[in-house]
Amino acid sequence: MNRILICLVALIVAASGARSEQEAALPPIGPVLERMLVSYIRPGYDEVNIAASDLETSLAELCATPSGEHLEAARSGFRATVDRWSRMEWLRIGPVMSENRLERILFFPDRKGTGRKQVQAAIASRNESVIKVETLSSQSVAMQGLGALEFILFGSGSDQLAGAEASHRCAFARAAAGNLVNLSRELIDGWRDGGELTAAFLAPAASNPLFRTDAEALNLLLGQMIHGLEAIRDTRINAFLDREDANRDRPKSALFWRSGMTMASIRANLDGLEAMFNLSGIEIVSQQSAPRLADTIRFEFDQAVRTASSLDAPVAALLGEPQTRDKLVYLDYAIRIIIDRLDQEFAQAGGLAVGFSFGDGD
Amino acid sequence: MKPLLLERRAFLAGAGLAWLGGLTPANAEKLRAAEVLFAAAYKDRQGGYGISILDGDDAIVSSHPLPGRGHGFAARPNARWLVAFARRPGNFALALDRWKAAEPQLFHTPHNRHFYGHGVFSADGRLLYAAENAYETGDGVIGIYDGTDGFKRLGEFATGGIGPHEIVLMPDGKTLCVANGGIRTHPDQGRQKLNLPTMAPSVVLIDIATGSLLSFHVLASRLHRLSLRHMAVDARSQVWIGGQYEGDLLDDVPVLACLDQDKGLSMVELDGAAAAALGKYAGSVAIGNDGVTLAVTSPKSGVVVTLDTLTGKALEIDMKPGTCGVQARRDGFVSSSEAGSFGNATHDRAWDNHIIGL
Repeated sequence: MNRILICLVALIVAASGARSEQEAALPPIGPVLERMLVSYIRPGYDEVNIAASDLETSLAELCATPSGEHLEAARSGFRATVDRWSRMEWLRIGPVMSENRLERILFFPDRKGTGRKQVQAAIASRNESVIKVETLSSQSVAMQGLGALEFILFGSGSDQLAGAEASHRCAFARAAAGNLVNLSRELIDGWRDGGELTAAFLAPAASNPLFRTDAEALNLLLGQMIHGLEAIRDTRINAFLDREDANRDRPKSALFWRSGMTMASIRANLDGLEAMFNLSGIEIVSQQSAPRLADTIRFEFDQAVRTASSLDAPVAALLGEPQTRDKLVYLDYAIRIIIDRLDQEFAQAGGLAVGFSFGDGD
Repeated sequence: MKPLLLERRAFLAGAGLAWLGGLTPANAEKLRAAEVLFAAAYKDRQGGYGISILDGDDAIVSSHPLPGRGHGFAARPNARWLVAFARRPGNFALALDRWKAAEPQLFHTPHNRHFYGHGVFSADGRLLYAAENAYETGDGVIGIYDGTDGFKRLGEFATGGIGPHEIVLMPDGKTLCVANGGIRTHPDQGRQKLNLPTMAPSVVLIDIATGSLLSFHVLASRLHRLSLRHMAVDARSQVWIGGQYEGDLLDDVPVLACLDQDKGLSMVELDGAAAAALGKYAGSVAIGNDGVTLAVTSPKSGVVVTLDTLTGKALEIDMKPGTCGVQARRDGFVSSSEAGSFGNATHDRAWDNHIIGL
């Protein structure tokens, strides 16, 4: 009986192209998506690719002619690559979510130090599979990316790269840089004009795999910023800072502590997310209902970036000095402020009823 | 049906005294008269969290504060308590007395565990089984609590996977079915997902008496980023499992799986419109009172999809922004949204992800 009834129920698709009343009051999201793609995503990935290519070039020179000067150039190329990647890493849409590309570029947190152990073992055994891009790219994700490169270039034994006896280690670094060049090229390719992703990204629709409505698109974009900020706080700052107890600080759990790039990377993370906010022009959704909100958010981003910039020292030194440690605690707080502002006020100004983060079904 | 109704009335009569202290006489009468009740967690306009009991007309008849954000529930007609669980990585649960005038009981996981937001009572209603994270190792466990002794923790079972989420008791009353979502988290890192490249969701059947793993089911490797999380059991004892995809949204992956104890775990291909509407994300699933109709919601895309489990065909695709909670009611379903809608009513609170029928 029930079955018959069920079968008699006509397929009702209430979804329609029409925007809801609430959405209709907001400017369309299309131009925001377009600016996000053209002004933030594509140029950002291009810069990652350029930095990785420069790094590969400098490593090729180092491997061909080992010297202190060439090692320094390679280390500097690494720092530039970290900087460019840190501006883009919280974008979690598209090709970066396929084939473990995100983790192959940077695997962190690595609570057990898997990457370091694997890299050390590969160097010690002169493992042949890590010195060619083609074979390295199918190794453990922890051996392929920036974490591995950092250990090779800055970890124990790295000074040998300036001499002739570290040719295997140097070839490993060069393959890892080549791998980053390939990965960043794949990211660029995924977002190319005419590609499936670009078409989907620019036009919310009922059959669109990314988002069906303007509200959902806004949700996804805002989610990149909020989740990014949460991750900076939870996985980057809290990796080494224990807000409650300085005795439980863990300077060697910080990302990029060997290269001294911990704070520079956090600063670039914040810069990148502010750029996403500004360059996408997402603020138009709040212009009518909260005209000053975008400036407030910018101010708060600037505060956080300025604080991170002022903490320009190795993490161990920052944690050891009460004044700078307090500033790290403040940075954590400043990030929380931006999260709350985006999650509550901005989300509501943009028509997302109760704040962004409530929409996670868990 | 009569004994259940009597128990329900007994629960309501006692409940009014203790945990429904602020109830108006009119609402108390309403509660006593109600034959259909639901519970759902919420966040109010001041940012406070709690749970509400609602009647069959979608009216709130009572509310109770929670110390943090709630998520799912455990309840059985013959169990004394209604238990509301904290959302991960929360470690509290609140038990409300359904039969007598006892005070609510707040209890916690051990210090090195946290709840995942779901649990279930044993068939006799005495023991509570809760999905938990042994977060230093990342192992999923089921904590066992004694509902007859202040929710004292008696022990735990391994779930054979990471990130156990919803637990259901199979109709035989002897078997637990657990969806291991596969995502590793650690409270030191908030809700960050730590193992996406290696995540391996599974669905397991566990002997409730011994904790033995009776069977272990995994997806094809290309689907290893489909976190299996929410479940409902149909009249044929098939388990319908909703997933949440952690990969590239352009990937062509299904979001619904079905576990048949004879045939194993298989993916359910929905027709194009239903699949697109869900957006590779199932926030909640429920089986109808007919035992055949299945409802799947997605708060991301804002939709309730109903399906015929006999044919796999979509019956209705109802776009409802922010909707996640869903539960069987009469010949259909009641659903709730973060914007406050609950069935045909709208309330001044954001409903969390699940509704339980009492």
